[in-house]
Amino acid sequence: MRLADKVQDWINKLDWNETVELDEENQTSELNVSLNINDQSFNLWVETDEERDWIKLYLYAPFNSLSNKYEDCIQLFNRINSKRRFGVIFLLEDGRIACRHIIDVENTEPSIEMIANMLGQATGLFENWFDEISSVALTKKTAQEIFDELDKPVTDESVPDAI
Amino acid sequence: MRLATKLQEWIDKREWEDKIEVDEENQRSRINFSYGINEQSFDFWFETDENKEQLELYLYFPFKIKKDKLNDFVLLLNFIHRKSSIGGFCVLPNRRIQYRHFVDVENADPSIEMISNMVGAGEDIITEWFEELALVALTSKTTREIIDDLSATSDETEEVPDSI
Repeated sequence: MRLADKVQDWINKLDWNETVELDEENQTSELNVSLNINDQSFNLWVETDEERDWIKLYLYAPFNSLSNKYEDCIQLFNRINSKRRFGVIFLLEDGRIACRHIIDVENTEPSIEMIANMLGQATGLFENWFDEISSVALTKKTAQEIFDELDKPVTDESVPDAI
Repeated sequence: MRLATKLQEWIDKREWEDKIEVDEENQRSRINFSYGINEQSFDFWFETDENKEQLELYLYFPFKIKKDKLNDFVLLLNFIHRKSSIGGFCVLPNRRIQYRHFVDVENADPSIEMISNMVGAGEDIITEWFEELALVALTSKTTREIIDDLSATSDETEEVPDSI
């Protein structure tokens, strides 16, 4: 299976001691590993679907959103999605936080770098927005408070006004 | 520019008269035109970035979200993201609705089919959810009402790995 083999090549290049699980009947494969981001253990799934020519990447945060913060999280995720380019971040019904990026590689020989970059984009999202996501999902901090901080005009306080 | 050439090949294959705009200095190209989905005119942008080796698709809806429906609308987008697969939606600060899908093709030679499927995936998801998106964006219908209507008529499934 060409896409599954490519994922395995990528794993081998990373020197991870992991093997892709193959489902020959359905021509799919999957890999599930824990991934350390910001000193937290994220759940990574990379799947392939040979018939559809899809490579699918899901990265799950190690924590769920508090149930009373679902709407706030979704507001924050829209802001994040509007700032980013690859894939989407969204909230599942049970409060899990997922980042997903799927590509269709029909008639294209995907490179190892393409898979590496899919992961790089997903980890970059959580690295860049970790504080905002965790504070909105797990504390009383609201999405609006985050937006107010992000939208605050930048002022150079090191220069006195009078100069 | 290899990605720009591929984009033009895709356009030529569709027998469209359009020509991509090429920015040699920044090694970028783009094409913009109106694109019909559900009898509506969407603002279509496809861009390539040779340095970053990226293919970039944007589709903008022909309507904006009513001011008082912004918060409710993003709940619908989140619901759609649970059920969909390729690309994603967001609401921009000006209340425009954007679908976008980026693919990084570093060290690969993307096929015309890859570009075609990027556009097809966007068109499919917009077609599938057009009525719900329009209802929540433009009328008093709420996302909760939409979800209740849908759960009354179908089995709920999420496009995420089953084993989690």
